[in-house]
Amino acid sequence: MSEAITTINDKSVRLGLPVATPNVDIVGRQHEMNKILAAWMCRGADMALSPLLVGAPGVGKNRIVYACSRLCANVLYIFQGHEDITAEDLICSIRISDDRKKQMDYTLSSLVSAMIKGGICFIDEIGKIRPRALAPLASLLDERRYLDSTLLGERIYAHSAFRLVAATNVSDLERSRLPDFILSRLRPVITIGYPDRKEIDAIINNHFAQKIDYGLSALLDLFWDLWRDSCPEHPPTPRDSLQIFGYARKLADFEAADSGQPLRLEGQANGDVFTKEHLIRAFTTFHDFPAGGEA
Amino acid sequence: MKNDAVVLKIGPAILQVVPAIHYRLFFARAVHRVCISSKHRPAAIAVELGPETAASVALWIRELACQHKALPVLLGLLIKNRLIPAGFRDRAECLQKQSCRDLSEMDGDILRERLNFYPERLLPLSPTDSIIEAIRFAVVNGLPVYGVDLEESADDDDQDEHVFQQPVYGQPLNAFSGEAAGYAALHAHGEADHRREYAMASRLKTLLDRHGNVLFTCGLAHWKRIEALLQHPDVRPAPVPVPVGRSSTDCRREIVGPSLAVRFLDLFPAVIPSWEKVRAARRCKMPLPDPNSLLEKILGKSFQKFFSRDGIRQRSAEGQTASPDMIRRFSGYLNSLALLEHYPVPDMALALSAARETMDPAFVNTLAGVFMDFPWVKPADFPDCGYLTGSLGGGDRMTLVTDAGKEEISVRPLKPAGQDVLIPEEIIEKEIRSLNRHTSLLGDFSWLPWDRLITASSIKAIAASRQGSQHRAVIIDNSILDGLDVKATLRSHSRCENKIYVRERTIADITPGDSLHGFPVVWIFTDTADHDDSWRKQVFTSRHLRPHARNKRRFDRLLGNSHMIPIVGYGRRAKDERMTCDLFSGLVIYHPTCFTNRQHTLWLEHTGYRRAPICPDDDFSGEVDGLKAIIRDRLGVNIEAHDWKMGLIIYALPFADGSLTVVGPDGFQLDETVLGLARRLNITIHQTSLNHFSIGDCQRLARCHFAPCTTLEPVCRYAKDVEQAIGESQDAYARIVPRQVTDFGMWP
Repeated sequence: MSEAITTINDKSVRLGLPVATPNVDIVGRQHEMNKILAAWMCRGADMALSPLLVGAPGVGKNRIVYACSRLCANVLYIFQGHEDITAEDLICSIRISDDRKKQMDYTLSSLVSAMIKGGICFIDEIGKIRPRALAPLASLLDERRYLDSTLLGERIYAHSAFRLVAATNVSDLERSRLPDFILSRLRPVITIGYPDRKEIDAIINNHFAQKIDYGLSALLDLFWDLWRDSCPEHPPTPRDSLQIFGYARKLADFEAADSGQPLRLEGQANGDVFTKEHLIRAFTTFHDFPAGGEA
Repeated sequence: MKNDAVVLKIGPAILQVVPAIHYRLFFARAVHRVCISSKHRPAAIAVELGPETAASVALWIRELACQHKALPVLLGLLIKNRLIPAGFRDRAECLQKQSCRDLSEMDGDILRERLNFYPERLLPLSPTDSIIEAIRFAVVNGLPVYGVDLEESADDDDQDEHVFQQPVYGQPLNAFSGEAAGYAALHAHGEADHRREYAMASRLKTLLDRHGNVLFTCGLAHWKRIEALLQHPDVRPAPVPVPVGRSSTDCRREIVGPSLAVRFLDLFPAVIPSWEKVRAARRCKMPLPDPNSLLEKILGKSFQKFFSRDGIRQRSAEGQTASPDMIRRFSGYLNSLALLEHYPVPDMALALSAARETMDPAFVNTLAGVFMDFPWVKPADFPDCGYLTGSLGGGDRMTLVTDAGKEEISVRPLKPAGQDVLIPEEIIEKEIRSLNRHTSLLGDFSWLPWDRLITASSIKAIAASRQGSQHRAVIIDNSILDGLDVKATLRSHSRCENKIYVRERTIADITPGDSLHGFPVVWIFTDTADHDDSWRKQVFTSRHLRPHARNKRRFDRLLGNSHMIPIVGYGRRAKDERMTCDLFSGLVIYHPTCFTNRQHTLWLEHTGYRRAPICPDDDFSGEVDGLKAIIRDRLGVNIEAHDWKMGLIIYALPFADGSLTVVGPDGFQLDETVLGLARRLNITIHQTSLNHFSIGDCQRLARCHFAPCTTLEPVCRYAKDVEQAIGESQDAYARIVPRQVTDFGMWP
């Protein structure tokens, strides 16, 4: 997944691709977005800060970042964190070249691609990356603003427009705390809390109002009652809510499908009969599994 | 002198209006300037309050004006509300049908959640609010004051959040309000607002006929619509009710504690002394203090305190770092944030939020302390008033302390002028604690830090017992991790890869929800018990839990006057004059014991009253006869016939939800009877070793103190001398309690 080729001190390298962010409206979260944008602003000698978003899975951390990148009109590169990432994966990797004249291709990670292009890099699930793999970030996140790549044998400086934001789940942070040298550089630490009922209702309304022929407010009341009874540990996240309502609608579509005809998996839509029974069934199915678990 | 108000001519009469953002000094100042100007001085004052509420406020301000030059900060009126928004009519009917109960019989929490009903609302007498300033001036100068709003109305809470650009001191009010009021009018109004605006417009017309020159101040969002109604010929003048005085039950006078008060005092409390000076001088042109320089002083003082030699030494001891770089980072972020939130000068909420996100927690406390360093009104100054303060749970809950005791109340959420100020919990706790000093002791309760430690350790044990054998092979990279993986290394060599593999422990595949499902947890601290050891239990009385029950009928049926047992142990009791201490050889913990009473009740309801033993007698002693009978009835097992270690596990089995966790010394084996019982009940027993915990923690877990408590709600607090006697701060271990426990049921 690489695009243009660029050179670093005569070394030809492939750049990672930016992400085409989905152009969907975000409900609420204005203050959180302002915090991220405020961290990225720099006046005079001030350095842009690299915020860390902390929140439960499904509360909408990624969406907030997408919205911020759209507001800045800047390209977004996403680096997906996981346990197997090594320090060098953060910067550059090599693969056997498709070009017969060359033996190897250097492929820059999304982080370094954003650094070179002056884009925004979003390190998702940074809490899952092992501490020793995060070590190269130290020089990037302070006033040095560069990364050293052993594989390339080069020092790569960040473009002045480069901005970084990272996100992690609360549970990852509780299980294995980020090392202090990273945590002290990832500031501000912005907590993305659970949205309130008004926001959840608005999200459901945006997604399903046209597609449900049953009183939506009655369904929402039922949904909140079910949630309170089965999961008092935390309120629903937008992801939980959308998945449950979405599945309820699919159940309605499935029931409405003509049993004499082959089932079409796409374009099958008859949500007119979406009732509270569908919602209860969807809810029960989802709550066989622990809610609020990992994404 | 130029008029600060918006002037509207209606026939021969003149209406001077100050459309205001509530609690912002800029608008109180505008009201004051209009009133003291000889040229523009109005003949009467009208405010956006109900007639009786306005009369109650005026009456109290008149009494205060006799004794105090400045308005004491902060006082407030708690006003009863009886109305539910009309839009909730169908929902209310449905709720009554479903529950077969009248709305008046329903629990306050349900009414709040489902119908947005709050039994009370708070009206703070903030010296920086334009309405209060208008009434103050009217009272002192003998002008008639009228409340032209409806006395009672129910907000449906569907209004958009207005993001106003905050005014800059020196900016003309006309220019600001013209732009901002037009913007505010574009936003959705609540259903009650239309009726209120109509009433205000028609009553104002009457007052204009009567007095000819009236000053009116109201919320910025209402003004454009009221203006249109005033100019509409079909809106006829309506009589302004003459207040007969509110009954004391409808309108209570209270002191508003600092942690709540800061929401209603302009940018920060430090502006008030200077504002009172300006008021007292009664000079139109006297400038207000520059809030920017006040903020700089506050920040400077906080930095000085934080980076002082003592401060640094203390933080170094706590392992926290502090560098001057932090100041640059914090200041830059705060300025950018203020710019994006449309604040010419950051207020206390923004400054604390920026500090919380960029600095050490210690700095947040220092900064909050400096912001709140203010001569607040003391309970002794107003002995007849209750004391209203914030709640640790946050949200719309407040704590009201009166002579009758302490209660948590729900008050209609007050929209502060800016964002809500999040006061550090330490400061709220300190405030609540200061009120407890004179309250009597409530009896002996388990030591909360121990409850926190046993809860956090139990959750750790649940995770450890499920990840015990989860290792994976990884290629060696500087560290040998959990040792050499011989099999993987041999396989690698057989494939001629010649790589060395080590064993890495994977992160537990356990979610927060699972952790709570992993209870009960059985702890066995030693192989051999002392010969004095016997069965002991701890209890929670239904008296403390019942107020929090959502379904009180069910609570009464299932718990009644019985007690819930959170812990059963095997050990002995040591007692001295001051407190008692249980020394356990082993124990069963049925659920997180550091829950608040509200959370305990929620846990009971959430688990259908099935996950904790309910003791059927009134016996507070350590005996467990009731529990033994339960075990005999349910499992047909006589506990006395078993070893105490197996007995603990048997006590836990009937209350497990598919799994049970046992923490024991190395080599601890379950006997066949217990395994057979677990199989019969379809319960998996997960075992883990005490070696996952430090020796110090294990010793601490085996020793539970009971101490006299000064307050129970929202959390147990103890006297200072208890801390000294135990040698541990009552805030100890607060940070190790996982979020799924602290947040359990705490969402609105």
